[in-house]
Amino acid sequence: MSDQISSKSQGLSYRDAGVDMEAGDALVERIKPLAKKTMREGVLAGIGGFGALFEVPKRYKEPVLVSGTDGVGTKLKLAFDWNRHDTVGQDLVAMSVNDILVQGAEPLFFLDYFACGKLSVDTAATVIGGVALGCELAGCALIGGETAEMPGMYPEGEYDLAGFAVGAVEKSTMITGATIQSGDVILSLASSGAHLNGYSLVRKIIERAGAKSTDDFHGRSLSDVVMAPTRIYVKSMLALMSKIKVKGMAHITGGGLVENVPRVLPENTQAVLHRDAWQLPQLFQWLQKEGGVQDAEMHRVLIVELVWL
Amino acid sequence: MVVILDAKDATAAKIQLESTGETVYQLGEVVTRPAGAHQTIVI
Repeated sequence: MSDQISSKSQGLSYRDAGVDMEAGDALVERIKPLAKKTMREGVLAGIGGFGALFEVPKRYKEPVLVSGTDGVGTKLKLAFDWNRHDTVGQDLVAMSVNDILVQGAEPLFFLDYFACGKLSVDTAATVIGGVALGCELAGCALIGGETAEMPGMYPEGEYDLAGFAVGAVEKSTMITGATIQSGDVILSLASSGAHLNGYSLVRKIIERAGAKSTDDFHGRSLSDVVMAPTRIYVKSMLALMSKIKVKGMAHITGGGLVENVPRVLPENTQAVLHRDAWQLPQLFQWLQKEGGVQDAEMHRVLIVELVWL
Repeated sequence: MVVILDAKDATAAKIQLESTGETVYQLGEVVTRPAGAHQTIVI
């Protein structure tokens, strides 16, 4: 009893409860120069204020704001298992900016949310470094964010990520798919890998194969191939749209081509896709072989074969 | 990423995208949808 009284008399601090505010401050200092590199036209005030301020560029006559939000999904489990945190930040940005891009929007700014049980400044700085790189690739400003250290909410060494992108498109050039008609051509841009699709299956197959992150995979480590960050198509597509009229775009995520392409098609049209038009990536061939996944199952699920573009 | 455009623009679009580092495949085409058919088919 006397020990309890003595212990209680010492009082508790926030650190005793598991929240290290000094670590949070240290992280902010690590993030600031990364965010600074992403500053662009329109930013009035970024990280540090209660709210971030952004002025829509005056070159827009009738700007329509386009917004998107997403997370990283179960690819994070591989990041934890393999202690590989440098690519998931770009994945996070890619999901949102590629989503708003398909409506013709130029990404303007991005905000991230990093939540964990115990904050590792090095891990968080690595993750958010990836976010900043993704923003640079997309030409948008990392204008704000939130780091939440919540003891007991996540297992040690784990975290979750979410992000939000806002872009703008001139009202007269919004891409809606409304003008798509019979005779139009469908192009696809190659992916950098699996992006964020099908990772529950990917993880299961890796587990079954007993593969390790350091295993050689055609001259690269398996980790490099499996954790390759999602390609950001913003700059190449904005350049295209400035020269050639694009009628419709689809960001191929969960559900693959069969579920995502119809989202931009008028009701009276059909997309006919040719299976021999794309090459099966080596990683996919390996996954199918090691997983013993039958063709019929692949075609039924679709989430593997048809999202590799 | 999938891009749909007029057939007359396809070659120029492919050249433009490749000039900015993209690898581009011509995946298919749009047709009139038969009654009751799915909106996307793979053949």
